[in-house]
Amino acid sequence: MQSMSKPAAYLGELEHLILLAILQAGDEAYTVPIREVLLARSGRRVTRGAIYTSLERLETKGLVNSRVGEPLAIRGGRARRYFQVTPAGLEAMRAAREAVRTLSEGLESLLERRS
Amino acid sequence: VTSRPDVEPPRLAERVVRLAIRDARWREITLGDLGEEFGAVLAARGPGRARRWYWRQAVGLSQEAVSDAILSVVRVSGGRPMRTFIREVRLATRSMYRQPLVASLVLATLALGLGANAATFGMIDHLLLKPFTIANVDRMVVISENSTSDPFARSSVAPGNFEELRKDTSVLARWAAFDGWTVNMSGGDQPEAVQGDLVTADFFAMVGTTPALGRLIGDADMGPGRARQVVIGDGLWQRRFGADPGIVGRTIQLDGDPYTVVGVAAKNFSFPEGAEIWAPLAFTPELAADHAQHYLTVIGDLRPGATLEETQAGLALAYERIRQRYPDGNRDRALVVRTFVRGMVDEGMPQILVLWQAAAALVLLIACANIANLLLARGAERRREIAVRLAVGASRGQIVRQLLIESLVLATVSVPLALGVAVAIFRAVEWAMPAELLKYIPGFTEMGIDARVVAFTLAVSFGTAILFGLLPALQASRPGLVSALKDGGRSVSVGAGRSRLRKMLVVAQVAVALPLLVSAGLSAIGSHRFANGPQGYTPEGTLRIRTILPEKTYPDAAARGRFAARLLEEARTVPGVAQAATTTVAPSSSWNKQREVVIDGVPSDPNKPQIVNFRAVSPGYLATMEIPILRGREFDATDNRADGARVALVSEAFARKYWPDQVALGRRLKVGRDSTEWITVVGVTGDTIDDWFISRRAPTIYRPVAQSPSASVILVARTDGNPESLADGLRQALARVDPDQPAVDVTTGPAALRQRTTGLRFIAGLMAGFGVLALVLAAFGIYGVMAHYVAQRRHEIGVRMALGASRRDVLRLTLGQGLRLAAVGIALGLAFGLGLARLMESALFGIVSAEPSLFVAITAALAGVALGASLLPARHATRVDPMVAMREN
Repeated sequence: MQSMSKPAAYLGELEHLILLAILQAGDEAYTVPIREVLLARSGRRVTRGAIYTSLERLETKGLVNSRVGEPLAIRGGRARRYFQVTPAGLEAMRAAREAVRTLSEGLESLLERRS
Repeated sequence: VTSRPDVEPPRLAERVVRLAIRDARWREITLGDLGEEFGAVLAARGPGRARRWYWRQAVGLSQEAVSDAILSVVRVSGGRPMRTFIREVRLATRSMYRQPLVASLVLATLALGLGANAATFGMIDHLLLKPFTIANVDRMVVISENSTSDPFARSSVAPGNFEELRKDTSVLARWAAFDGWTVNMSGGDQPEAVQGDLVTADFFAMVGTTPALGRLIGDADMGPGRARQVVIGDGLWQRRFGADPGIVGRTIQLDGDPYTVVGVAAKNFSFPEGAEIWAPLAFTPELAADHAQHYLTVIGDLRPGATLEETQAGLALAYERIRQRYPDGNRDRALVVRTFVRGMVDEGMPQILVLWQAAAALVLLIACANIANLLLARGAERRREIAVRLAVGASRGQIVRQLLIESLVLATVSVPLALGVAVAIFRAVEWAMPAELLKYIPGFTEMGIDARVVAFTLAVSFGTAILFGLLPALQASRPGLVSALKDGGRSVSVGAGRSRLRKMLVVAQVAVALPLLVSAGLSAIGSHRFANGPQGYTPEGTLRIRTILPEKTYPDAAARGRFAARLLEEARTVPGVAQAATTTVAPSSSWNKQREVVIDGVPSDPNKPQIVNFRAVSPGYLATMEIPILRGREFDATDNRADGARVALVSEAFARKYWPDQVALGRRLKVGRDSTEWITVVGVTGDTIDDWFISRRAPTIYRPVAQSPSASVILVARTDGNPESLADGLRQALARVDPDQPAVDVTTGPAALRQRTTGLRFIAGLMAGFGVLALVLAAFGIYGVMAHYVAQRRHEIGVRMALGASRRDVLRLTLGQGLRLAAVGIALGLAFGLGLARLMESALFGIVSAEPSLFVAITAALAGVALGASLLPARHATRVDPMVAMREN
């Protein structure tokens, strides 16, 4: 039974992965490491545009917020934009994870990787 | 990791990124990210790769931007872009089914046009862009010592120079050299000449192949006494040794010497040029000291991060030092570094392939014009439907989009058909190419439909759809609303603009078809002239048979001279042989031999060596080949002795070049710069055409074979009957002289000539195909427009006839209209055609020139086609019954 007053936001798969990548990247979560983590951990080669669009959407939904850093020489004098998962974002991730967990119950023998 | 502030991301690519990203905030972030990552790639992989990486990112981003833009165009009235798009595609498919004739005409035209382009792209892709299946090919280069006097740039490095250059490893990471090596393999049923290469230690590692059995040649084989090791090719292993798995370690006889087989190469490995056997190229002190003879092909691996220019600059310095230290033989040379593919692909190939692609693109343009014409005609018929949609509130943009989607659907459906056409063209090309030529064209055997060809065809088909779809769509959606609804589609004012457009398209078709026909005609004339024109000798009735004498069994001039004499004696006993002689190089063969000559009385300049074709022949050679003696006499038996008087014959071109206003007979010359022997000219021969591309009427000198015996012996025989009947007899004659000597290249004169012109006939065939395609498409176009013209004017024609116009007047009116269009097209096309003819002249090495008669013939052909295509609709017009036509309103 759902007992939340406000249902958690629905997460697309890429959005979910990006949120996870932001958390994995920690304090250094700006666009470059987010993409690297996504590639390294999920093995998915996601286009730049798709990541930027998703980040934009996540921010509109209030699931992440961002701050702009100092201009840097290695970026040709441009600043980094750091991302952080908001409490609402965390809630959405928990909900998504819970949904996956509930739906997977009883299917362990099928879904566990056999080596 | 050090940062390299001097290397910055490519400016232009940055601009592409800027253009691709509309949102200003994300644009800055993206540029920052790319800059940061560029720095990392730069540090890890060097400036060249980093730049290429940046470009890939830029292209990727713009692709995304384009597909986003398309999606937002497709997105109508907020949301559900996919559903709208699917609905429109379904609508388009339905309208295609409603007009099956138009749709199938469009599809057939598209399939032909796109198929021709797909096949040409496939060829370019495989023959030019990636003919070699070598993993590291992008980082490999070919190093040559180019010279003005040496037409073969590829194999031009002196062994001594190679040794000096490769000592310096700061410029190239790895070096390898190889040299053609043809050996006589004996010990089976029949001796066989096997073609292969001597290679240095790093050769196999650099081309990145692994052995199927045993091992390849490497460092261990370069030491003294290790030269007798060979790697054999898969084909040779199957053919000669029945794929014996125990072949490694076995001893085989090559040129009479025992060699140990150390390995079998991978199945499809035959680099370079179809090689089947590889042995170590070990540098003896004598070899390492040779700075004057240029024959090695040298390849290298670029150092990580180094560019071609940097490498060229680095090597040029080292080469300058070598040239100063060893001026002899290196005076007129310059070191050139080229990419592997450019260096290994045959000269002339790029121009020819570009020509093909240009021709294919023109055919596609003509096809596009045809389709646009069809769609314009259909647009006229659909004007009511479109007017209704506009009236109930559709925007013009929506109509254009709908019509464009119809074009896109047609284009997409045509892609599989086009690929089928491309496959057919590939098969035809393979069938047309003789096997003995195929192996010299790297990449040819791998040709077929792959992902790149499919991607190319899809991309071109989309471009085509927009090209042929946009014009009719814009026309059809033009608001002429009220009149269209009122008169049901027979308004003169709207129809006039459309039919003007259609006429322009026909004019354009004719204008494009003409240059295509010119190039087709030029290649046909060229190849016909090559194969059937005067060769300076009579190929018919001759047979040639070649053998190469190994050093081991024929170590000196005397032994080789004896062999040639014995062979001739035996050959003359073969039944059917009317005349026989030997030579070292026969005309119309892929071989040539050149020597430097010094002319008596002409001061010789070491920087400008006089290089001429050199042939050592037996007495009777000129008579056998039917090369005329213009002045003086041919060699006789007293000349053809090792101790005979030093004499020579020179060709007409030779005499004209060196003694332009004087008598050549009795003049003296030396063969070889350091020779002390003066040779007297006793005769002047007619010129021959040894090779249409590089050796036409080249100055040639003939010497008696006994005075200058060579390892290459070619026996030529003439018969009154079919020359092929001599083959067995001559083979046996050779076997009687030496059973271990294989006969190579046993061919009749005409067959040799055909072989030499295969490439050219192939070009001509393909160009002719394009030309015919263009002509057929143009005829369709003219027919379509004229039929439409007549249909539209039925009423007017009826009135004219009612007022007393005769059938002849009507015929003149309609035919005149068709011919006027053709005339304008031809006038425009002639201008293009002249330009293209120039290009062809250079692509075909200046052997054909655009003659006025060709232009006249093509103009006549096009006018004839235009006349024929207009005739049917014109006759239709004369059968208009005035009463019926006028009552039709």
